[in-house]
Amino acid sequence: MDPTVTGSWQPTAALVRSVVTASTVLLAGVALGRPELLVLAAPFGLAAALSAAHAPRSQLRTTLRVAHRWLHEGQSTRLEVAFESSDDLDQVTATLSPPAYVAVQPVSGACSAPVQPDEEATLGFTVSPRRWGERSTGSVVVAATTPWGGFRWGPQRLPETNVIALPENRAFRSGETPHPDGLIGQNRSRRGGHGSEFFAIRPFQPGDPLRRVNWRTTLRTGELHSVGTSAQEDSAVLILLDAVTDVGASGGLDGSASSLDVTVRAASALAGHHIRVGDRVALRVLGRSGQVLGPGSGLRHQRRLEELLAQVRPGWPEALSLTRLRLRIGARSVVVVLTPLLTPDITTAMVTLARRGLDVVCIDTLVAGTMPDTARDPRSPGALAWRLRLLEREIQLTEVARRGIPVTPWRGPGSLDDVLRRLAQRSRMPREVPR
Amino acid sequence: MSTVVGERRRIYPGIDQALLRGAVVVGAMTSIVAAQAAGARPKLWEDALLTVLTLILALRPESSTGVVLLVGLAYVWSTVSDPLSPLVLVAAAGMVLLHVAALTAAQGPAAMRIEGAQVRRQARRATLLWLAAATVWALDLVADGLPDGRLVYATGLTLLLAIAAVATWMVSSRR
Repeated sequence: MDPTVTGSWQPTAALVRSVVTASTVLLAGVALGRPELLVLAAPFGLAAALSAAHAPRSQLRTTLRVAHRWLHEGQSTRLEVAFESSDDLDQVTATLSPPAYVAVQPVSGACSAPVQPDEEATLGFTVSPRRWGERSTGSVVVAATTPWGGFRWGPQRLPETNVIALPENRAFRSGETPHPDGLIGQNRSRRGGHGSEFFAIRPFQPGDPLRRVNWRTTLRTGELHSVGTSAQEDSAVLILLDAVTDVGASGGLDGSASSLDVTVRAASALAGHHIRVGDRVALRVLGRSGQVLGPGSGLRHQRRLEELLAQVRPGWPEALSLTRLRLRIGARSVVVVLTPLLTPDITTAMVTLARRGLDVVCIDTLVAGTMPDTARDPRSPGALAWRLRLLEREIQLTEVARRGIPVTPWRGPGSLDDVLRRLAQRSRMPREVPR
Repeated sequence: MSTVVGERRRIYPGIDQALLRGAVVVGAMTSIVAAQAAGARPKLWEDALLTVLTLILALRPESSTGVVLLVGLAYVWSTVSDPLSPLVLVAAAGMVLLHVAALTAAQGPAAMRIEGAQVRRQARRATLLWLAAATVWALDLVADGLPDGRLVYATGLTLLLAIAAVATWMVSSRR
């Protein structure tokens, strides 16, 4: 949509007031022979004349610009209204009605500035999306007046612009992944190689650097031994995001978080962490929007992943049936499922993936105390239905745990440390693979 | 499903807007008091009507009640016993103050902040408008010695010519 708007000039109430007062009082003074009335009419006559002398002759054009279309939730950008006119302008005014989850500075949403001659007339607001997703910056109404306030352009409503708020990307640290199998990365591999972590003291092999020779063992055994280090490799991580339901009220970044808020922010933090350590990260959203992103690494991939996360819409996915749920990931990948565990189909999918031999980690994104608005009244049928749903959730949690899938609540950075460490230990043990 | 948390947006005039709207009231009251000091005795209902009109203009500075208010204030002054008293300049100053204050307040919503530069610019303009009244008053005093009946016509015509000259000069300078 073209953000440029033109309108028409209209005489102001001040001009009408000046003209009518001056002419009425002047005529009365002359007709009645009252010279003092001319004294009172003079200022308004002069104001009317000066206002008329600055009558505009051309159209005014206004343009709405947003400095950054993509930004993280909580960050702010500048929304600028530019006025273009060949006539002199005296004052420009803009008001902004921000929608939900958008904070505006100045808080009143009204901004006005006198225009200096030969200077570009611009007004600016600072807007900050407080929740991830595509957000309108709000409805902007602008007006401008000529010198001496004789004519006004507007108030004119400008077309709204949108910004895409990427989910908050908080610093995240976590342990090793169970099956590193790539060439680069920072995960400790099960095989020896060039790395920094101690792996074993083993007989010297051609190619070992001399500084790695362990002289104590060499002297004791009589054979040359060197210190072996484990290789550092990357691994593949699939983030499976449950966006079927969104429970609880979202207060944006400054308020309470809904289950989908926790899910999306956790996914963003996880992806950021794994990409930073060189892992290949893939995304699959099980929701109405159904975003799919293949495995990749690097900052560009992380940005693309965050963009997809910002467009997540809650709703029932088309491809949730197990026959159609093809994840296209390698056998040694780690699947991190972010779910509030309120949809049995997601639990079934999770169990199926675990049975295929994949390492599945479940992150519970239902924060304690979160409930839908309909369940706020404890005596309402909604509260009863919610209690039944929580009982069903307990059954799902038990089922998931019984299948050996670790479940951990999202507690911010470090949530997965213990779980991934245990998974890595478990992956080194022999296990029975169901056929 | 996720629900939008409604937040009541607080829209209220700041201290600058309150002062501006107060200036409308002060201007009108100054004009009435100056007229009474010069000998005018407006009836109670006239005072009440002007006060109501003043309050309406202060609350809605873009309304057309300003026309009625200014004409009413001129009428009140017309009832004084000494028409060319210096107090007429005080009355004119009050009328100019209320006009300029209402004009500035009408340039945006009530929550709009008024810039200092805008206040100074409007103050300069108000002074210029008041000087026009002072000039005409001085002309009236000079022409007071002329034969009765011609004074008003002479001053009125001079004023009209002056306004026409200023407007013509302003328009021609822009072409």
